[in-house]
Amino acid sequence: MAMSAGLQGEAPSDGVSSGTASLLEVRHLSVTYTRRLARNDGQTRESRHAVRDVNFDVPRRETLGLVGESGSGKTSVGLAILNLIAAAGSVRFDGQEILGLHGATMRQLRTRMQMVFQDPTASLDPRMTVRRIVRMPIKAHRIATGTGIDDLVAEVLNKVSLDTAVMSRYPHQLSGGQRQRVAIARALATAPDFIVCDEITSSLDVSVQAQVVNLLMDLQADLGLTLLFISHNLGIVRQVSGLIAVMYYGRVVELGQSEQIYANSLHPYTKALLEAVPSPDPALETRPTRAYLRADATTAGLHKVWSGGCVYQDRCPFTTDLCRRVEPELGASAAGHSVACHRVDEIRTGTAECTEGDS
Amino acid sequence: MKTHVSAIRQRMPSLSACILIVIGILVAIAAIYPRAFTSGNPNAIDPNAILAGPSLRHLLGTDEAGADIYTRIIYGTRLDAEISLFSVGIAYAVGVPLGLLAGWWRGALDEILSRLSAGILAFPIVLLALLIVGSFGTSAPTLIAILALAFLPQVTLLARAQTMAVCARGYVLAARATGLRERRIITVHVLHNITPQLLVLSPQLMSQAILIEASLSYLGVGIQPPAITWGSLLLDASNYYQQDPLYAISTGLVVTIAAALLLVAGDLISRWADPLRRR
Ligand SMILES: Nc1ncnc2c1ncn2[C@@H]1O[C@H](COP(=O)(O)OP(=O)(O)OP(=O)(O)O)[C@@H](O)[C@H]1O
Ligand SMILES: [Mg+2]
Repeated sequence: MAMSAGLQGEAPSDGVSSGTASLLEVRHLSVTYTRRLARNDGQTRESRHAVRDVNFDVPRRETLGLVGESGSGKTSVGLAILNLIAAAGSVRFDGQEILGLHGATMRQLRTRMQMVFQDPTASLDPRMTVRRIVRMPIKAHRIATGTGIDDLVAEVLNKVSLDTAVMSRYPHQLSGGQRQRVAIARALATAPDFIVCDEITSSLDVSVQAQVVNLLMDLQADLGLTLLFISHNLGIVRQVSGLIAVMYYGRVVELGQSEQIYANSLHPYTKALLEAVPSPDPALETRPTRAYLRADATTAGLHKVWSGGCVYQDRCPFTTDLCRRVEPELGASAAGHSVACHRVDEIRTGTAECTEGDS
Repeated sequence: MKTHVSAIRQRMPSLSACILIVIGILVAIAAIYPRAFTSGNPNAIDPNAILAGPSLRHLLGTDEAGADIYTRIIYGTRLDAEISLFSVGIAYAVGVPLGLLAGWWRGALDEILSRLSAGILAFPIVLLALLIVGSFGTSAPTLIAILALAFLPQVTLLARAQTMAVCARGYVLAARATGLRERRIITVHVLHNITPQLLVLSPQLMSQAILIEASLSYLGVGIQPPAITWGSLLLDASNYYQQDPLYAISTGLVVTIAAALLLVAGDLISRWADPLRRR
């Protein structure tokens, strides 16, 4: 298998690019949600990890696709990176530590890092016109004044290919695709370097998804944006991302250049995900063998509290005693990218034996 | 241009809203300048016409002392308007900020406010009124204070619940992500979005104020003569409903219609304030 050039050459040990070149460096990021249980005393709390010890870099002007099924912690990573929820670890943006920042310093940084959310119907205030929605960040950061504000609003709407006639409309008067364009326009209003795109197409019609993805890719090329592209749709991620991080139950289990992961995925979870992606050419489509998913696999594992070992042990067909006891670290594989799996070499050479039915 | 016209049309009130606005203006005139509707004196007594039926001189007849009922109803408008407006206004002025802060910051303030509100809500308002009137005597300010206190928990809890609901919406998180200050988020996004729901409650409370005033008057702890309220008229009328049914019916209808119109107004206001429900 041919090694792809560039990234791996710079940082062969961990599959992420070298530190200084990266706009975003995420180290040991963990997010824990605590909720109060409805008991008599009202004081009993239950906490569980949504993200645990996640590490990755996003190089300037590149896109990291963050994939994983629902509940794997993708949104939590995005929110933690933007310091919108409490998190532990370290997030460096352009060399500056972000976690723990607050007040004016953080607000100032927000002009450079923005987010587009999953559902534009929810993320746009229904009682504001499009003009007002896009004006909000411009006025909050005093990016323009007077008539310059409306000029800038028109300019960013133009960037997302929206007619300025939509300015006086309310979100509910727009189509889903238009709404998501407004949300993108709002994110662009502060001229950011970095945007977290959290499942920005999943609430849209399939026909519109491609338009929005193409728009985003054009914008990235034109404006030199760095993107964290969150999605559970590997087909779309492949289109936009040069790098991919696969998440399962709060952990990154496979990380590397997308070409490599598509051609030579090693983690059983990634393989299962790829098998679920419909082929663009129906004639070539093979029936999913589900060889990488246990027959009894359920998503139940996602909801129990992690108690050691590999996060994928309950669904993996290759689980051994070692997998149950020791959690595999994300490390360089012989294929060149990073995988967190004890049996990666056996899987790569095809000698891994199924252990299904052992438990 | 076209969108501009339709935007204006959207903001235009409907026919029923127009009718209500006209009624509201008429009531306001009656409250501020009752002479616009009647040349009579509400306390002028006509000894020759006691409990008389309707006539050209006395449109709705006269009461037990021979005073013109129509004139008394018109003159009663002012106190009823004052009591309902001020009691609800005070409840909002205090309750909305409290509920907003409790819903936004949660924590200890929220806990205390919720318990206090539940405590006040659990207390029967008429009993509360009897207790307070017993120690402070009856006057319009006392009655306003009682009603404001009774309405405060409803307003606070509504503002709190709506704030919490709005805070869970994506656009509040999105606003934080764009870098808005908390103060701005509260005033621009939260307050703006809870206003329709808050507005629906205000005419409802005003109608409650009118009805509670009437029942307190009926119990003899309301506003005392010579001051006139619709409630005090209702009390007098109830003593003579056999001799003069129109007396009781007309005063009762005034209270009922006022309360009902306020409820309709509440719905129209919320519709108008909410672009999603606007036609
Ligand atoms: N506010 C919260 N309070 C408690 N638990 C939460 C909260 N938000 C998310 N979680 C839990 O954390 C885990 C990760 O959630 P997250 O939303 O980050 O996943 P996701 O990968 O974005 O999923 P999806 O594809 O459904 O958006 C889930 O199990 C979820 O139930
Ligand atoms: Mg999500």
